[in-house]
Formats: sequence, structure tokens, C-alpha cells
Amino acid sequence: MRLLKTGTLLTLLWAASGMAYANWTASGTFRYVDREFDQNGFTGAEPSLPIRLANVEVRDFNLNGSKALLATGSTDANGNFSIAVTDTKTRTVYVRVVSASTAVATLYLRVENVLTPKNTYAVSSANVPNHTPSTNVNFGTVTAGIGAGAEPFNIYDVALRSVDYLASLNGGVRPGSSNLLTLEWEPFSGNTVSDYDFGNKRVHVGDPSSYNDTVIQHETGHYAYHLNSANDSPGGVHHLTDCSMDLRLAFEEGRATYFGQSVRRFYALSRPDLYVKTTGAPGPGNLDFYFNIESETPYYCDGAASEVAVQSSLWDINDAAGVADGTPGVDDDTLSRPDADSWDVHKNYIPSSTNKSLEDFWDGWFVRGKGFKSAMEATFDLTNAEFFQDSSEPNNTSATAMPNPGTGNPVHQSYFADSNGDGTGEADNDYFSFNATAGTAYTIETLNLWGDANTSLELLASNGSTVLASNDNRTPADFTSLINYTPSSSGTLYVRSFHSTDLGIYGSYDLKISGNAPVDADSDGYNSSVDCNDNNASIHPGATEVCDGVDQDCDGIRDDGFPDGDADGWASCGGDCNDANASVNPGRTEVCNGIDDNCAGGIDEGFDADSDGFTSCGGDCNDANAAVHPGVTEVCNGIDDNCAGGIDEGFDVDGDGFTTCGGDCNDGNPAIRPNATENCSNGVDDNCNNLTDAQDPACQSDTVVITKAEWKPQGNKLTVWATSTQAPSAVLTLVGYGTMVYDSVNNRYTLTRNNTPNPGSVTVTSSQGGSDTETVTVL
Amino acid sequence: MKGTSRKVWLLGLALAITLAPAAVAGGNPNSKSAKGGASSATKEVEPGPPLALEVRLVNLQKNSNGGVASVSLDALASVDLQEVTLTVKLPQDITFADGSRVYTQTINLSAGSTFDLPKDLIVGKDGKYTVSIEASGTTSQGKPVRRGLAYKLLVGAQDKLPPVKDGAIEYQGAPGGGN
Repeated sequence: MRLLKTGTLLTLLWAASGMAYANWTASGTFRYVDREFDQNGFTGAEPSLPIRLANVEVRDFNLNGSKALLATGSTDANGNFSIAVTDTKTRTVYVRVVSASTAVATLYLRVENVLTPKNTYAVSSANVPNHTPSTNVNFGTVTAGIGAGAEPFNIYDVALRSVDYLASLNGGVRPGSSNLLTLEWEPFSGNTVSDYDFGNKRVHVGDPSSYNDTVIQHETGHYAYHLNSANDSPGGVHHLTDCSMDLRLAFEEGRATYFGQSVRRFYALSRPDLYVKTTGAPGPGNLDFYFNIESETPYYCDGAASEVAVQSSLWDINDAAGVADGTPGVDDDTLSRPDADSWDVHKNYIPSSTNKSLEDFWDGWFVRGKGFKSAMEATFDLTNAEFFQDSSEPNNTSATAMPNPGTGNPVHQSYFADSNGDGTGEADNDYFSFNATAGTAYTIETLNLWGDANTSLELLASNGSTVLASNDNRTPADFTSLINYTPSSSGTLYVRSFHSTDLGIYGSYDLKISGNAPVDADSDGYNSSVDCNDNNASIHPGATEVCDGVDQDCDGIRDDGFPDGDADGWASCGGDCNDANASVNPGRTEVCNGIDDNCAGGIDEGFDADSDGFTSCGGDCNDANAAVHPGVTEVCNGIDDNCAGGIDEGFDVDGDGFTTCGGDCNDGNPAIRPNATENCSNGVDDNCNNLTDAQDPACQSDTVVITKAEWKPQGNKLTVWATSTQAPSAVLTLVGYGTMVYDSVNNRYTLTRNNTPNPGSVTVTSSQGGSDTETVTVL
Repeated sequence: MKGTSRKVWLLGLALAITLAPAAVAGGNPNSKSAKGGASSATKEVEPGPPLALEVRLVNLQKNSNGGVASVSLDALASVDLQEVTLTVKLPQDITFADGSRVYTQTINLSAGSTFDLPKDLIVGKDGKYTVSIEASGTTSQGKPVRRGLAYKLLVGAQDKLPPVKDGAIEYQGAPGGGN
């Protein structure tokens, strides 16, 4: 109510005074600092570029909300603005450019931050204080610097180019209001990877990518195809080195890169063939990685299952020798078709296809009547996307099978049939024939798969239809195919090669048929397929068996017909050294058991590792030490030398459990041993620690510490201080000098002697046990 | 236009894909990846080599000016990579514990593995620093792989956006700059 009254009052005052709304014009230019790049990262060039087609607000610096907004306009293609303002007040005014396009007709673009709350970015001019409402203001050129607002406006400008390139493909019509393109970026949000969110038509620009124009343009490529085409991509992480991608993912990613780079080509920006990602750090360099869409450098792949091959193939359709790429004036293909031709396929054919891939683009190109079949084949062949018939066609039935010599030379083939020659492909069956020889082992296999060549093989009998053998995948992880087959009779066999069921139907591969005919190396009339020893002419089927432990007649039984008492397969005349024990014969493995198991002439050979004449099963309790075995003399050394089961037996005379080498310092007195209790007054080292009575810590009840032991040459003066844990009751004696005096103030004992030579070291003993010895310091 | 027969088996395949668990594309050059997964992605992520770099600040022991930043560099390989040379370069006023400012190590990485390199950085004074990390190696097929990363280390300093004013994060522009 109060506000209403105030407003009414102001209106009345204005009317009474005869004031009229004044008009003034706010003008100026907004620019931002760009960063140029090449394949090494940032070049260091940082030109200023106009902020194009963005909202401009004329504002009152001292107000907030809608009251602060005096007028709205937008920049033009050169970053200039001129906005008429209607105002009545003298106030402080300024202008700001905003990363949104609501004031630009037909443009629906917005750059905002990542984290909630969402806001656009703005760059403001300096204030103009005390501005009177009839005074025009030219705010001059206002530039957003690096780290000061330039980044979101670079993103805005890059996306604007993508939108306008898209418009150029669609007859000059930009995406409408329902297809607002939103890009989000925030310098410290912690997400380094960029992506496109189909659900929200939103590009997330990773932290370091505010100047990675090609990364941003790639993501806007997804936006363009989202609005105008369709995809079946499963999405997710994908790698440039992966030559066996999901066809659908390879297509969507490859064409998004193609779109982004095409934007750069369309606007004649530098090196449109380079996709560059930098780390975003200041200064020149700072490359993350790059690749070249024209040459596929440094990621080369073959066929439609690679995003690298997809983007390169699509690029080659439209690029021309005049494009300012790495080889200006030269093109590696003969095609230079309008972007609109490719766009028509994406827009008007791809949506109707299933499992959308480069294979569908190929078919769509011809379905949509784009032509240039030979040039297209040659261009796609640069990436080994061999969408044309191989030289064996038509070999689609056994009747038209291509003869193969079966010598192991690979034959390069493609799964691509084009029965009517219109360019669009069909599913392909490749038939081959070869003359098979009975007994020859044949290997039929596919190798070197390109693109989506998911091979499957069938070996067919001479009638061309009966399947003798088949294989789809060589291993679960290797989708080449392999058949090994040895025919029992000679004749013509057929091989059928066809594309296994998956997302595509095209692709290329090598077929190899090789046979290994059996040989008769020993010329005994029997080849290796039946001769059990083809290096010995006396051994072959039908040979006379002799008793020598060998199967001469290749019937699988050695020495058949000769006595084998223990039925272990070895006759005594054939080498069985114990024909009454089936566990003993030349085929057994020697074990440590005191007998000759393998009839090699030795007993337990190999089981005396230390070569001391005793095996581990023969009583050697340490087969790694030749000095230890049964029969040696036990010595006092802490080990069982003679393997008698005891250690140092005979070296504990007094029976106190300690040997002389085990620390017993008196082996004639059982009361003296290492763990005995020290008697502090018998003049004997009872516990064998080399300390007798009071010397032994066990007898010390006082801890004496010498805190000073000094000798001065001047006056030959010796000074010793000591502390005692039993002070003052303990009497301390400086050995060789006499009783020390207790100093109650400092709680220490002292003794000083003049005219005495330096003793080198001193010892203080306590009347209550304990002592300490220190080296004398010469002052 | 692909033949009708293809459409039929593609329909069958679509059903099979729906029923089969999604599989991950392998690195075998002859494998054609199990073609599972749902169609129509919700998100498409940017292209990249099969090696990712990440730096984590594990601990910052702050001194009155500067401090000791314990960081961990992670190198994540998606395929087998040979002789990956990791290089960490430090800016002025930061050193490793041994006083150097460049660290290099060459490693082999197997597919799916992560190499973790912990380092203590001695920071001489408060400030905003950029630590540069590079990694380069080759795949088992001989393809070169390179990554770079700039890690912003803040010691006694903060990064923050300017304030929001009427719906916009408002930076102050600079006069001039019309080239």
C-alpha cells in the first residue's frame, strides 16, 4: 500500500512538473580475449574478438532486480550495440553483456554455470555516475579478459558458430525456441570431461575446455544430429585407439567430430582438420592431445567400427584442396561434395535406418541420389571402409564359388554385394572351392578383420550343401574364424564365408586355406599320418616286433608277444628290471625309496642333493649340507650333525641343560649356567654373563650416572659430578680418588682434585650397588 | 537401402541385445565387440585416448606461509600401454622433497589398471600454482597415446567466481581491446 502511494505521488509530481520521459542511447562494443591453438596446444596468440549476438542490458548500478534494468538490446555481429533508453532520472548507469540470446531474434542460446544456482555470465562496463536521462553514452569498447569473463563468451561464440552452421544446412533457419541450446561451464566445478545431455539439450563443457573450441564443437555436433537426425548409440566412454567400437557409437561420435570440424571449415577458421584439446593452463603449449581428422594422425583405424575412420570418411566427402588444412592446395581424395548432400543423408535417411552406422550413411548416400559412386568408393577406401564388391564376386553360391589353390596365400575379401550396381550394399555370402586330398590336414581361417567384418565359416562337402565343419569365433574374444579339417577322401570341398549376426553387414577380411599333406620322411612306405616313428624305417605298421621296449609295428603295444610277468606293459627282455613288480619298469619315475624304480641302473638317483652319499630318504637330515649326515662325529655347534635326533649330545657334562658352546661358562657345576640367579656376594659369575656380583645389573639397586668428567690442564684439575637414584643415602666413590661429596642443593655428588694427571676415564661406584664409567673431557 | 532380410535379422538382434547383458568392447584388434547395450544414449562424452590422468590432493599441511601438499597422481589405462613416461613439472616456489622440480618415471600399464604416484610437494609460499603432468606411451598395436593435465594447487589462496548480480555472474570488463 505504501509503495502504491509513493508511486502515485511520483506520477503526480511528474505530471505536475510537466516532465517528459527522455530518450538516450547507450552504445559501445563488447569483446572478449580468445586463445588460438594448433597441434602443440595454445600458440600464445590471444586476439580480441567481438562478443556477437548476445544480450546487452542497460542498468542502474545502485538498484537491484527489475528496477535496475533500464533497457535491453543485443550486440551485432561485430560486438557493437546501440540501445534506446527511456528514462527520467539522473543516476549511475552501466551496461553489461550477458551470455544469453533472449534479445536476439531467432537465436536460442545460453551459457551458464554448472553448480546450483544456475546463472548466466555477464561482463560489465565502468559506471557512468550522475547520468542525466537525455545524455547519450558511448561506453566504448569493453573487453572480457582471460579469467575475467572471456571464457564463457568464447563458449558462447563457438556454440553460436555451430548454431549458424546448422542453420546454413537447414536453409538459414536456426533451431527454434523449443530447442534452446544450453552450455554449462564453471571454472572450479571439478569436472574435466565434456559431454552432451540428450534429455536436456545441454552441453557440459569440462573445466579445462573453455578454450577447447573443437571439443565444444564436437558436443554441439551431437546437438545438431539430435535435432535433425537420429542415433542408436549406446553412449558412454569411447577411445580413439579403439578400432572395434560398437558401430553405432563409432558413427555418432565420428559424425559429431565431423560436424564440429566442418563448422571450422565452413567459417574458414585455421586448421579445421585439427581436433585439439589443451589442459587449459595459461601460456603457450599445454597440450592434452590432438588428432587430425584428414590424415587420421595419430590414431589410424580401418572401417566403420572406429570413430576415427568414420569422421575421416565423412570429412573427405566435403573437403577440398582449397581447405586450409595441413596440406593446403592438396587433397587426398577426389570428392568435394556440398555439405548439404551429407546433411540430407543424415537428416532424411538415417532416421529410418536401424542400428545407425556408417554402413547406413553409405546406403543413404545412394538412396538419396547423391551419386559419385567411384569417387565415394575410393574415398571410403582411404579408411579401409571397403563398401564395394571384392574381385571374387559374384561368388554367392557354391556354383559360382571362387577356386582357391589352398596354398595358404591370404585372399582379401569384403562382405559387400551390390547386385544391381546402384551403390547400396546387400548382405554377402562368399563361396570358395578347393581340391582336397585325403589325409591332408586343412586349415581354413579368416584373419585381419576390418570394420565390422564379423566372420563365420562353413566347410561344405562336394555336393556344396552338406556342412562338414563350421566355426563362428576363433575364441570368445577373437571374432576371426578357424576350421581344421582332414578329409578321408579326395575331392572338391567348398567354403562358405558370411557375416555373423551383429549390428552391421559389411566389412573386410582375409581368407586363408592351407593344407599340410602328410610326408614319409623315412621312406619306409608309410607317411606320418600312420607311421608312429617317421624317422625310423624299421618302425611302421606291419613291421616285425622285437623285444627292445619299442613298438615296431605301430599297434600301440611295445614288445607285444613277449613275456610281461607283472603286466605293466614292459617285458623283461624289453628292459623291465623287476618283472615281478608292476611299479618298476623303464617308464616309471624314480622316487626316493631305496630301489631302482625306473630301471636306469641307479637307486634313488637325484635324491642326494649335497652329494654326501646319503639321500633324504636314506637318513640325511639336511640334504643341503654335505657335513650333515649319518655317521659324522657330533660337534658342539647347535645343530644335529650326525642325524641322530639330538643336538650337541655329549657336550653338557654337568647336565644343567646348557652345553659349553651353548653358553655354560662352567660345565662342571650345574649351578652355574646362563639362566642361573646371580649371587651378589660369592665372587662368582653365576649366570655366565661375564659380570660378577655387584657388576651384574641384577645386583645393582642404585643407578649411577656421571654427569660431568672434566680435566683442566691449567692446575691439572679433575672435576667429576655424578647422580644417584639412592641419593643422599648412597655413598659414591670416585674409584682411585675417594668418596664424593653430596651437594643437596643440586642433588648431585661432586669431587674435585687439583694437581692430578688426566686419568683418561673415571668410574664412580655406589655403596648400594651400581656404577658408571665415563671418558674425561679435556677443557 | 539394406535388404528386407537384414531388417528381419536386425529385429531379432535387437531382441537378443535386450535380453543379453551389455558387454564392453575389447582391445583385441580382431574382436568386433559384443554389440550389447541400449540404444539412444542419454549422454555422449568427448573423445579421448585410452589413458586418463587425475591428481588428488591427499593432504595439505599448511605452514604460516606455504606448506606441504601431499598429492596423488593417478594414471588410468583402458588398454595395455607400454613404456608410459610420466612427467610432472612444478612451477616456481614448489619443489619435490629432494629439491627438484621435474619428476619422470616410465611404467607399463595393463588394461583397466591404475598407477598411483604419491608425491609430497614443498610449497614455499602461499599462492595459486599450476602443476603440469604429461604422459606418453604406446598401445600394444603401436599407436602413440598422449595426455596432458594441468592441476591447480591452491595454498593459502582461493578461487571463486565474482558475485551474482540479478541473475548473472558479473565480471568487470576492461576498457579497450579493440583489435
